[in-house]
Amino acid sequence: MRRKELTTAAHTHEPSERVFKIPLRRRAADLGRLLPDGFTMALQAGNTLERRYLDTHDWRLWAAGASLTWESAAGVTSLTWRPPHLGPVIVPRWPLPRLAADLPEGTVRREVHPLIGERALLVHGSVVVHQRAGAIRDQHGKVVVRIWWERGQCLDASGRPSGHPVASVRMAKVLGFEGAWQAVLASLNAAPFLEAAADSELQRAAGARGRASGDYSSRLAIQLSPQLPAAEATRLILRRLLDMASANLAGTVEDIDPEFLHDLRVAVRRARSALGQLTGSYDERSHKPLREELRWLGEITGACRDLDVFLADLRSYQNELGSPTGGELAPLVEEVARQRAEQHAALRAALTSARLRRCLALWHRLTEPPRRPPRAPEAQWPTAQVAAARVQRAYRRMRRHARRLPVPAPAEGLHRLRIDGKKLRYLLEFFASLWGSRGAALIRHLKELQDALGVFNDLAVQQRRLAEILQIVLARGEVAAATALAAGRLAVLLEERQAAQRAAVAEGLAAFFAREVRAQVASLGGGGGEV
Amino acid sequence: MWVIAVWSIKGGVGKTTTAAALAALAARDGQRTLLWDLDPQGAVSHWFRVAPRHRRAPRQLVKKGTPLAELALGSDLPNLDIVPSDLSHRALEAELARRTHPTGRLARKLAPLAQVYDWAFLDCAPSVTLVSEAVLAAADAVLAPVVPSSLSLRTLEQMRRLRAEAAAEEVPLLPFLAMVDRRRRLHRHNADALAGTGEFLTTVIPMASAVERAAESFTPVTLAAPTSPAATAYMSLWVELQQRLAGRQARFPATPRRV
Repeated sequence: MRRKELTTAAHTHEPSERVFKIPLRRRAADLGRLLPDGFTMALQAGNTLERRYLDTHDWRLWAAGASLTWESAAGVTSLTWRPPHLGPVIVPRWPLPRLAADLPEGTVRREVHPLIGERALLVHGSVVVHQRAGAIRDQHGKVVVRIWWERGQCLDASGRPSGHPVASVRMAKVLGFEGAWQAVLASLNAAPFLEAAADSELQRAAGARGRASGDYSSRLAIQLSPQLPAAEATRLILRRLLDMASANLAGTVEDIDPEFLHDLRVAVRRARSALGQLTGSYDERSHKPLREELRWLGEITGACRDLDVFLADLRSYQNELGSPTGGELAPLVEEVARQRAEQHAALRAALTSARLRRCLALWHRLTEPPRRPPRAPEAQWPTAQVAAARVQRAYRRMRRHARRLPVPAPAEGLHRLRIDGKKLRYLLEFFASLWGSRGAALIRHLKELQDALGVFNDLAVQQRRLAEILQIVLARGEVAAATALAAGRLAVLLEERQAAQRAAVAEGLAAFFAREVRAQVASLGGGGGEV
Repeated sequence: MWVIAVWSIKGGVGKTTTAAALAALAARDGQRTLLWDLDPQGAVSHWFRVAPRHRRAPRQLVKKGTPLAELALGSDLPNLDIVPSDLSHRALEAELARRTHPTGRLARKLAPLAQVYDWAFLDCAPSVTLVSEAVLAAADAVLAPVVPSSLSLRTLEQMRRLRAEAAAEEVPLLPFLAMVDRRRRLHRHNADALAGTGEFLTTVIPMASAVERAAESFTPVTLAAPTSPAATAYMSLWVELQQRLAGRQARFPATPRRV
């Protein structure tokens, strides 16, 4: 039998809602007649509203099977949160939120914040909806299913109607009335006029704006085949990274949230790493200018990103330390925020410069299919062979560096080891499609070590930056003694935590260079042999 | 999750009306809300057209292993679920008495719900029982409706004493004047005298026929007659309650989680 159910609020779990598409000419009574005996449907008078679908740039809510919409009708606004398992939560009279802090306290913020983190909520789609809300009741008059009869017209980015209007019936089950829910669904599934459709309102609304749900993710996910020539694999990797960098440029310039700059920097760093580690797979001469321009891009984005991270760290410590120490750190936070604004202005100028445009054009040119086969020594080698050899070389180098570290390891040495680890991780991620679960397991092992090294390094950097910022505000003579004392207390805390973190680092190193992980690296092939 | 018990050892003072009105207001504000009917009369369950589904519901309410969420039913209002009650719930007292650590049983049942609900309102029976002690051990605050009669202060004093005996003095007892009919001289006099003690919330719930009419239509007064003086007073009580809780730590805090 043809499946009449169209879309669900959640695509990963048992949904609490169902949406059916219905021909525009149909009336509510047509649906009411379909209900099983004893059930009645009543709809309120209709109203027209504009619905905006909110999500992060990288579609975190959609990926979790949830949705957040903001509705506005004649100046009356509301926010609707649809988590995957439970029914919708509608918060009336709520202004359009931008960050998690703008969300109403309680369920909505508690559930949305862990998903979006510090990312901004952007409008991914907009629909003008004529809506009639109502309910289906059982023979006792109890509401057993909630219902929204809607006719939606998607709008494009400039607010003009796009595509044809679509009528739909959204139904939500009521807790504890599973039997009634199933009975109603069964009767509607048998209705001849309910048409199948492959898309949801969100997909249509995003499409009207030239977007598609899940069209951006910071995950690399590059599909490569083992026999693909290494030069072609390098080109595909660079193309994916160019797409990622381009997707984050406007958000970085507009300073929508700090993750745009983070993802831009990661794309640049990965591209530099690819060019640095896959030498032999591409023509040095043609790519040398890009390597130089990527170094420049890395430099101009570094200062602002470092301050983003330090600002977030300081704010987090303020919360952790509570009152009064947290409050006394405020002048330092203000100084970091001031410096960050300055750095962002410089970054914006660089990212809107002619040099940046030339850099992107060059990057783009090198990701186009070449007219002649590249003549680099390993250009025609199978990707699987090059990839395994490079991963094994990077692993060996990292292990060699780890073994040479004195005890206790200096912070600089551990930082260098972390850089080695990043390069190895990028390689594993570039070629993950070649190795399936073996590659994923290695990435997992490496991530554990990198996390331990990352925390250690962050604590070292935080101590250094804290001292620098304190010097600056002290020199200005604007800071109270209480702030200096609070900074001192924080410095002691950071030092203690860094010392404690050494144990986690040692544990991570021992685990990552253990015999079984070495065997996993060797099993990637490529003739690298014992690692 | 904030757990608010609506309790008085005196009957007919507006406990159920208050619990239903506040729960409906919380749900209207987009807060996931649970209303737990602890009164065997089951008035609040009747209002919201729900009844216990399980034959041994009182036992399941206290024994380990059955999550309270499994006994909750959705009301006709979005965001509001009810744990219903009926006459069989008079056995709750006996069920508690049979258990070790009886007074902590309700708290243990409520604790996991902090991940789902923002508010839990407990509509308590007008009695002094082990259930009352268990309620005090679970609540963040006790709202106590007080009708301005000459016995009211004495009732309130008894409730304070019970709270002390239950070693629950840290649970704020928030009395407020309810069912006040200012046309009656005695009500006027007593209400003014009680309000003057400074121990009461500032909100006064008036005696109103709108409340009775709302009950007839199975609807909380805040929805049935939202502009009536009684509904307005309940909205004010809702705001005042939130103000009283501001800055306090909930007994069952929710931890951020991935959905």
